[in-house]
Amino acid sequence: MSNDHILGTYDEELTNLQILITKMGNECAEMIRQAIDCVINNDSNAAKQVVSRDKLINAINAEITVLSQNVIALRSPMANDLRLILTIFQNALNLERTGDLAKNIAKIIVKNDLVIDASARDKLEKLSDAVLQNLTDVITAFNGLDEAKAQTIFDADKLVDDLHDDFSSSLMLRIKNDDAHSETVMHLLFISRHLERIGDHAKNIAEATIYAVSGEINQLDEFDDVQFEALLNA
Amino acid sequence: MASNSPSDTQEIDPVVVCKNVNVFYGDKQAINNISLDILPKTITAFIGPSGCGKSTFLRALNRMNDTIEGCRMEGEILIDNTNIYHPDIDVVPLRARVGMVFQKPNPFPKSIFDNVAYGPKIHGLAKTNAELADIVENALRGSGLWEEVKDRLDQPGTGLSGGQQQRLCIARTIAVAPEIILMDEPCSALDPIATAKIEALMTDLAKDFTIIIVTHSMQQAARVSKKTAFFHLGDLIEYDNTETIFTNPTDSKTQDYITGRFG
Ligand SMILES: Nc1ncnc2c1ncn2[C@@H]1O[C@H](COP(=O)(O)OP(=O)(O)O)[C@@H](O)[C@H]1O
Ligand SMILES: [Mg+2]
Repeated sequence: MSNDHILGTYDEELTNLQILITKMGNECAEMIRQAIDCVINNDSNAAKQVVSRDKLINAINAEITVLSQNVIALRSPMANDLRLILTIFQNALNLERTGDLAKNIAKIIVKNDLVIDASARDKLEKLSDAVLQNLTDVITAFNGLDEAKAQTIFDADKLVDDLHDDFSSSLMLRIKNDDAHSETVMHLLFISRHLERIGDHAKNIAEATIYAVSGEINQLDEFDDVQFEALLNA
Repeated sequence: MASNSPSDTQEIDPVVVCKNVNVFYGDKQAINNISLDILPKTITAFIGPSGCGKSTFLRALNRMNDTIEGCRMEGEILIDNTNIYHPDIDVVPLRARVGMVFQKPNPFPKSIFDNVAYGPKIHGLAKTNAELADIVENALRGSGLWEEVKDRLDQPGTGLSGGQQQRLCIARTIAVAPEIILMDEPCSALDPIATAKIEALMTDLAKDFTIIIVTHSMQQAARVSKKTAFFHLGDLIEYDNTETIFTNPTDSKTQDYITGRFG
């Protein structure tokens, strides 16, 4: 979309922002992937490196803030350009949160020794694969402003929720049965929850993609006026 | 083609109704079959690239095009349900009802007082000199100029700054108690401060008058108007709430224009 403004430098700025947000998304996905590897391999040294990777993501986020600010101040973006800037800014916040969650997962491994059996490993891998698939898909969808691809994220996120429910209820059952590795079980519950939250951020980015393309705000439809009123007065 | 009445305001009766308006300069058609309603006591902005017909359409609203040799108009323009192109219509009172402010401030080479008093005099709006003085004062107050000029009403209008001259022209326009004020790029010769003053004034005036402004500044349209009409090559492409036009226009031509992609 951003390749035919009369002012060429404006195009470059928008393109730069698109490149940065895609880069930030890929960095976050890689960080999450590495954090899960650390969990599976119980590798605390690698986990330390994952924790420090968060700085890079924060730095990209800061750069996106400054560039978006400059475009808004200097170019007065309108319509689809305005929506693009707003959503890049919003997506950066969502991605920054996924980086924090990956860092939290890695920190668990820095501080603790987990004992993960085959069944837990299998459930963890299924959940993290689904979450990473969603995150990389939504990054691609936003990069290509692909509304149809963004739409697929909502159903895919239901699968993530199911996998999270399945994993966490199996863990709850182990707590009930006085599992010998109660600390591991507790940490795995947190990890499952963190992954599920990452899935929610991917869903937010999908919503932002649809808004960037069409100007439609999905979430508004989920409320009727009465509910909205109740929420505002709460 | 664009809807001629923005949907959320359909319950308000329009003050101007344009039906299938075509305007020609000789053989050349400048306005193509435009239908559009203007809401009362609202600021409506006309935007679009140079030469798209904004001024031509604006001038059609008070028959200023009649003064241009070879200019011809088809269709109907109703103001308060009366077709202003009906043969019985006298253009002199029409142009008092539908006043106009031009791009370049054009005060008469007379005193500040006489600039404003001229219209009320020829339209017989004041019976006495005291009444005339009241009308002049009110008009100068209405245009935000009174405090700046009340001690030098006898000095020439042409001695004022550009922004003050433009506000003098606005005072001259409102002195004859118009219903509608047409403004053709009223700020394009003014600095940013004088522009901001005129914009603030427009917002005040919209409480009493219907204002239609042609502007080449999209930011100005966004700042002051409630409705925006986008013109292109003599067509009305899109007409909607200003907010909608600048955030999520329906037509890709509008979007290309407001985002700076027109080429
Ligand atoms: N007095 C005139 N005589 C002949 N053609 C004119 C005259 N005024 C405007 N035009 C033509 O009509 C078209 C619309 O012009 P105008 O209404 O001035 O556009 P805008 O105000 O949007 O810049 C242009 O092609 C212009 O050249
Ligand atoms: Mg013009």
